[in-house]
Amino acid sequence: MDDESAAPSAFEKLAAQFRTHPSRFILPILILGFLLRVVFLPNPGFEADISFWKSWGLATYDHGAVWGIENTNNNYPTPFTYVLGMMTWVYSLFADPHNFQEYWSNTNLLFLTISKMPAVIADFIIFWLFIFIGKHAKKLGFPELPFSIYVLAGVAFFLSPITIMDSAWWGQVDSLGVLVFLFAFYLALTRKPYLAGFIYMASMMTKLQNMIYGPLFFILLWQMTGYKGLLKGMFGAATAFIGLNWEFMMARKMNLVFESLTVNYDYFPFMSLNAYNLWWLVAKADGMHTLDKFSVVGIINAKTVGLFIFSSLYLLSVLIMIKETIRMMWKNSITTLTEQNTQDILYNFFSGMIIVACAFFLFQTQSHDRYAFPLVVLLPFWLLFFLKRSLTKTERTTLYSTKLFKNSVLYFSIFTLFYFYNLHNAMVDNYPLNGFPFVRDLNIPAATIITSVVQLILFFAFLWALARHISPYWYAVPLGTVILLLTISNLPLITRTPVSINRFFPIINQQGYGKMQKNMPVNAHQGFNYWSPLSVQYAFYRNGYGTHAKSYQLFNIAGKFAKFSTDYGIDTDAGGAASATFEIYGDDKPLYISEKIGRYEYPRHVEVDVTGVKMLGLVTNDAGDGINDDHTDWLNPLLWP
Amino acid sequence: MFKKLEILIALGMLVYAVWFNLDLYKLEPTAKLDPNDNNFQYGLVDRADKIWDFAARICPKNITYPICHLSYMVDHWVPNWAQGYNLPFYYSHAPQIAIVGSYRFIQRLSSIELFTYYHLVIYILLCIFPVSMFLALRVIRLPWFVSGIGALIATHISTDGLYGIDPPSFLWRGWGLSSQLYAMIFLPLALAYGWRIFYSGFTSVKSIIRNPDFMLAVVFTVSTTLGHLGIGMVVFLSYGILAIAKTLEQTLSQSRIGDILKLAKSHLSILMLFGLFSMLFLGYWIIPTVLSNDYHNISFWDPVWKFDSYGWKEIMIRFFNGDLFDFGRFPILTLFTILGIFSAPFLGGYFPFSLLFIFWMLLYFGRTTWGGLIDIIPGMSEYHLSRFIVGIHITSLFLVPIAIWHTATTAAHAVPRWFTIAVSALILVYALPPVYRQTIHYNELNDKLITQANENEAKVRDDTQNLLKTLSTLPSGRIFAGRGGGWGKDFKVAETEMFMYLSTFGYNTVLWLPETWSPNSDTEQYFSEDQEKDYDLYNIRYVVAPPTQQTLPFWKKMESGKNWILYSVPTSGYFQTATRTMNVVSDKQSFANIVRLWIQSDMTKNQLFPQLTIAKRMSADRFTLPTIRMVDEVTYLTAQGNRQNIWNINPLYTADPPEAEIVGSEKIDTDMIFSQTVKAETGCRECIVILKQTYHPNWRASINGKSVKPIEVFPSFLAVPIQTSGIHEITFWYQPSPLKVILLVIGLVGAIVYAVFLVYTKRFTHHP
Repeated sequence: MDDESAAPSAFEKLAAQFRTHPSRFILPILILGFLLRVVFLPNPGFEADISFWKSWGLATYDHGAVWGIENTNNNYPTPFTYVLGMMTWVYSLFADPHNFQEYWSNTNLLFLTISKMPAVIADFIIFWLFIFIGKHAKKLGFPELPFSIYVLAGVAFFLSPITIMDSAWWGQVDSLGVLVFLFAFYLALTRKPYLAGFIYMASMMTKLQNMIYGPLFFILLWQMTGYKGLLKGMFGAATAFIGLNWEFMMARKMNLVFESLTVNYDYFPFMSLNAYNLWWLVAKADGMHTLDKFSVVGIINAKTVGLFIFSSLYLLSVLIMIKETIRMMWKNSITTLTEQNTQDILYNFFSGMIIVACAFFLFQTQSHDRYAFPLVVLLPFWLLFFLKRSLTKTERTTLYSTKLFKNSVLYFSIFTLFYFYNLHNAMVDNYPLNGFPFVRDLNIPAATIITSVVQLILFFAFLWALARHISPYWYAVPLGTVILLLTISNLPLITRTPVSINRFFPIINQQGYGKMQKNMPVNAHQGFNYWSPLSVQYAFYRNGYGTHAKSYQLFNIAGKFAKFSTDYGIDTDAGGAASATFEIYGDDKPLYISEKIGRYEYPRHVEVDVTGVKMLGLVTNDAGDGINDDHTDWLNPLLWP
Repeated sequence: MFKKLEILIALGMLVYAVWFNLDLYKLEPTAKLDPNDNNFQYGLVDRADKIWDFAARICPKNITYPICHLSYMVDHWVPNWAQGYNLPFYYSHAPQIAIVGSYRFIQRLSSIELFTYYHLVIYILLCIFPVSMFLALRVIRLPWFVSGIGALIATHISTDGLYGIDPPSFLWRGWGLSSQLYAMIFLPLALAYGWRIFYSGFTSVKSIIRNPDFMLAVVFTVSTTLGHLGIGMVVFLSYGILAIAKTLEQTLSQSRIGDILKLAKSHLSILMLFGLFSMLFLGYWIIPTVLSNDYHNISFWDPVWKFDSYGWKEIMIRFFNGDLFDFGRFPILTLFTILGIFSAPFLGGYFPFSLLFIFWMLLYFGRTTWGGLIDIIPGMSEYHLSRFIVGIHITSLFLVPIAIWHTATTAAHAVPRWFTIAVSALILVYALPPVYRQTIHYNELNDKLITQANENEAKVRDDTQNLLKTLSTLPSGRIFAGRGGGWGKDFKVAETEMFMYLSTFGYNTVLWLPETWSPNSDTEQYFSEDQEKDYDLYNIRYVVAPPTQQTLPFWKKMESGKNWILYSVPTSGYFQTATRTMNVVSDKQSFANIVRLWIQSDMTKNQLFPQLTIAKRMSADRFTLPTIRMVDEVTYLTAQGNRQNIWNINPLYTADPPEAEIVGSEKIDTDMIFSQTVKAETGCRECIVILKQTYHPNWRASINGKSVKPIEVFPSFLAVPIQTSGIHEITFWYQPSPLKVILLVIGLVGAIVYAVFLVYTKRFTHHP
């Protein structure tokens, strides 16, 4: 019996049914998705986060948002505190949040349900959005493909283990963040720029990571709605920012808002926060314990290299988005967009979004395991455009049997598999008793390394696929930019000129009081009224850093230098009781230890040989009489190649 | 008919705004002394008054007299602070000339004192600022009523003293930034005409030059800059933004790239032309200032935030807290400013003001945010970036009326104009009372403090006048009246510290730094009160101290009053002989620490003075003396190229004291000309005669009538080498920069030629 005459299998029958009557499958899919989520809702998930939510939600519920943020360690965007307060309020309708035992139990099913519900509901709405767009594809500027493929794209998201794990199991709100962003995107599509900008800001205030998509979103808004639309969108964003933070503005506590937007920067200064990416590889599967301030290219640390790659890929995304507009403007003024123009813009938008999301996840240090979550939505959307653009009209009629479609499914499946593994490991690393036993057993360094490699390959495969529609020469832009930035940053090594120690970020940074201050004494940490130049007994310096005994700053100088020279002394702003010793260590071996230095003494100077030294430690000690007043300065600290 | 009514209402709003200020601040010109920067500002006016007479006396009475007189007025020595400095060479001087000139005219009609007249001027300038704002809004073609709104809010920004254009910058209890006020009065008009020249569709150079808008743009920009160089910088940078605004608008409107480039080219030409014309009139000031920048100090003692500003986070927090516009009240102006940013582009042509606001906000973030990137803009490395708040404030004064009008237009869409005005008026009825309440509230304490200070001044007036009278009869020398960080802080004339008070009225003092531009500003602070040699170094001949102050053995009591005791201290006067021991080559920011080592050594007592050469690079073989070059604040290169640290190896060479001495008594004319007689013995090697005034290349010197080039010696004093033995008549005099004079003449001639050209073209156009 040959293949052609073989009876179709049950799966093939089902697939054929799906292709012809996709609507009939929607309800079963919804029920299946619901059941899968119900199974995971009682799971305590990421217990620490849920406990924080309880704490911050209760504070807001009891005392209001401003008090809640000011008096807890809440480090989420300020408007999200209303979401948390709302959770506790809903909880209070059914139970007493002040019942300590019940409320704080990590198996509190009611709270787990309430807290996971926003994300779970978001999953359903995003699925609905795929269907809605599929039904109105032409009107919205999406490719006219069979409706079934939109349903399939929705399923790829809705039933993805990544989605279910993140929302219903883990208890995160990534899905909610994506939904709000997609809502803003939908408003941009429907030419409602003010609301689009407003909702974009709300999305950023729900999930701060949406900030990285801001420039691309506003470029899209500009392309879709023109100059006036862009302005309206920005006005919408400004209105939302003020509206959502109104209570803080009226209380003149906007410091809390801006603190919440910046506090997480460098909060976990490690190579990779369980994101299996470039830096996970560099850290040899120990990214959570490897600081990102180690020099990796010349004198440039991993964090800076990561930022360079991210920025360069962001530049590529922007170029991909605007190249078509520029081309059109070169010919004539753009007055209206054709259907094809809109599709091109959206294709480029999703391409740019994926590059940015991948760059954020794969190449930045301090990247979280969950930062790639938006890809589970973006990739299906992108594939719709990709398939439309890549296949001929005839091929599109037999879309499901094309090699490209099959490869796309394969690609998404590999992504799902490996990224789910990544998320799962991140969860069980923190809660070893949670997770699927068989996947848990796979949580070994070698497998994480393989996953990192695969996820990087997937990104390059994406770029390779994209090269079908853009000239690969565009890729020279990020590559050239990274090389240029790295070269410029390493110029002192190339030209053999001295480098200030301030060019390095200390790997260990400890001191007895305040925070280390570049080019200013330690008291500058108290705010601008305390900013002053470094000075020792009124001898002033423009360069150096101020610290406070007992201090220990360890710099990774990577064996690139021959000599270290510095002046040192007690800063003029110190009190009379100050006294300290200054010590220099090379790879933990003492290179120099000063005598006791007092407050009214002139600066001293020292030069030490640091040939081959990888770790340079600068220590100030209290000279045995306590640390009171010991404002210690390292002045003109220079490394000589 | 309705139009006339609208004009009448708008003028009524303007009159009310000015009247409100005149009434509210009426105590301002009654002040008898100042507690703030006005001491410095009045000191400059007082000095300009003295120089007026000096120049009148010294300038030849021929055709060159006006230029000669003017050259002294724009470039003279101010000896009051920091060992003297030619402040008008670098700092604004036109306002002082205008005040002194008008005062001399008014003096014929009234017996008003210069001090009171000065306060009257700044009071009036503050009060009439709404007029300037009103006119500017009319210039940018906003309706009369909107201009009225602008006038009503013009002087009602409220901050906690951030050096902006709000009353706390100018009132008695505030900062006393009257120089900023001189500029502020022209600032709105400069921006408004800038908008006109870029938004009136000029296409050719010829048409733009002939247009009165262009001329007025130049006039108001020059006037603003003459008032305050920093605010002038705000205008020039704003013009850069105005020039690109329309191009950006077209780009964002997705116009054809060819059209965009054409527009960009045209606006760039206008910008260059504007820069050229402005520089024609300002060149006499800007060009010599840039060329002599090596003698303009950047002080370690200035707060870091002044230069670097506060950074994006602090500024955004302040902005959204309402502290940039609405300190002490509901953030009304803040909200209208934000609304204005987005409204302006929709009102047609006002996008540049939105762009300007964003630009100034970004720049105001300062070096704290942008690091060295901001220094790409010329002049930024030595600019007080915190003063860019002025750019933010002035732009908001355009945006707020636009926002109110746009809100009303939107609310009253497609209805008659009177309805729009009615809606705007309704908004004003709700918005203005809290705005005005805060202004009134701020001034309540201001009035109380002025009254109190005047009462206190009256109690000590006679006693203080006695001191001034005594000092004016004594031989010239600097006065030490304590320092701000010591007993001088509590030694006051009413509310003003004595050291401030004395310098305000033209007595040469030390250790108060209302300006830190003199290269002696930083190192003068190393003066030790208990070291007799330091008094001699700085020619501190007199000490004025409160009766409770413990005296030092070398202070000799001269006279006393109820609240003060006057002491004398022996010094060699403004002249001193010395031995030049070595050369120190340094850039202007790297010699403070080595000078300090020298001040605190015995070298000053032994009359040993190193030469100071301000240069970035200089080969040692140019000097016959030992030479070192400072490569940073503490590191130096020896002639052999060895790198050393001043704390490790003290590089100061010693020598024998000079075999020369002062033999005459010094003659001083208005601190502009100093003469002395010196006797040098045979073999007096490396002998120099020092004048204890801050070095500047504009100083000239002669020995026995023969011109010699002065050199700079530690700390930053003038000196001339004595090559031969015998009696020498030494004269130093301050000469206004010849380049300045030439450029001034070119500017004046250029102004006349341009005026004639405009008149001629106008006539030609009318009667072809």
